[in-house]
Amino acid sequence: MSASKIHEDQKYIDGLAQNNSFVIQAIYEKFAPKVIGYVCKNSGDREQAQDLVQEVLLVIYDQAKTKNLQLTCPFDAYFFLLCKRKWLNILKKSSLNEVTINEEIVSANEPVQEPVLETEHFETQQSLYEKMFQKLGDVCKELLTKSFQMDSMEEVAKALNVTYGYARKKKSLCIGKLTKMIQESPVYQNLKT
Amino acid sequence: MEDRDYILFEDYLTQSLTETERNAFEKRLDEDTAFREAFELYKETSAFLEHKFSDTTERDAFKENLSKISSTHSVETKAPSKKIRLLHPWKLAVAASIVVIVGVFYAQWFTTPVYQDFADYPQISLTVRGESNQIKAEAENAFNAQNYQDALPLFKSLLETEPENTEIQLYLAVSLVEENAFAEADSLFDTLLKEPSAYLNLARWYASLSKLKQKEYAETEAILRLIPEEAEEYPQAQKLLKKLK
Repeated sequence: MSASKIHEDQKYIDGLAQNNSFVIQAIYEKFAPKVIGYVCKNSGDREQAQDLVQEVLLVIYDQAKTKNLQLTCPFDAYFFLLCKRKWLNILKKSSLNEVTINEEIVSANEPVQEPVLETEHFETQQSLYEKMFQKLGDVCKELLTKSFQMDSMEEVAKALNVTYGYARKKKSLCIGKLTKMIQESPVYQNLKT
Repeated sequence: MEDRDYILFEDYLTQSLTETERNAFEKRLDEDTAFREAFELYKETSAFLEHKFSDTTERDAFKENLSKISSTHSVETKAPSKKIRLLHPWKLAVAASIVVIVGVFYAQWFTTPVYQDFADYPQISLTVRGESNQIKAEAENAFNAQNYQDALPLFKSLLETEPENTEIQLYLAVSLVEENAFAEADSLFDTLLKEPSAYLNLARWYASLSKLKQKEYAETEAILRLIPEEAEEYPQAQKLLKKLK
């Protein structure tokens, strides 16, 4: 982490992580119109644009919360490029309608690319983790859910009617199993490269 | 990795190892790449689960807030023109007088336009549902009552907490124009016109009115020409441009 290069727009990231209504409002006022304009010009409508904005803000929130996201470029460019690339992906997936993309020049300078790719990487990672979690057996799913919801492993053991030692051991084995499934997935291999 | 490795990972993360065990663990992290990679993933997966399960309430609150703001935002951007029309019943009176004094009006058509003919500021709404902000409510009331002198300090104090709020900056600029504090108003407009925002065209329109009030007609014209055809302010901008010629 290069602490020296944090952009002053980090305030938007912090505000999102704190669920600060003023900051969210400011993002909607200052940055969302450009995204909405872009989506509407490129085969989408207002409603789809609003959904896109919400999705992207949620990913940023998740990344800020779990990975302590630090912004090294202006929020405007970062946010717009994230939305734009996500929208193009959505269009690609639903290529039912012929798509007209009025490409505009985005400041494709390095400082923006990197954080954008990082956030996209993060999002792919999270959805892979989620998918693999859903594939775990019911015993592991229940135990992990309780382990992270409850305050202590003693409580978890009590709730599941098992010994403390067993609950602890099982927790690490379940996470271990999950990591194994993640490691074996081709998506993980792609992410690594 | 073996089962005992995962147990070791958990013990290390929960700081349940003895010092000797910990040192041995860290040494292995240094030397064994596969072990290190597996441990990093174990840590990440734990962080993911932590966020997924223990921060659910927080995350749900964020999502809810997001959709609330998103919906008020889309309403705000869709409806303003209607709102403005409803709030000015006196326009009817103006229309009626125009019929009566049509001759005078006709003569005026050829004279230089004046600020008062165009400065028609809509009622503003700053307070958001579910939020109580005394200063916002007072600022809103003062502005809507055209009591700009009182509105000025209120807007300024709001900007102290939210310096980036374009909407409030814009209303502050308008109030400054109304109070003839042109230097301050124009420097604020300068900043507003430089950055893209939802209020950009509205800011251009109000900035041109500021110049009009100062009788700087060339500048008025230059700013008006920046308002694009698709903007809501375009018709009134064209009307004023026509009169300036």
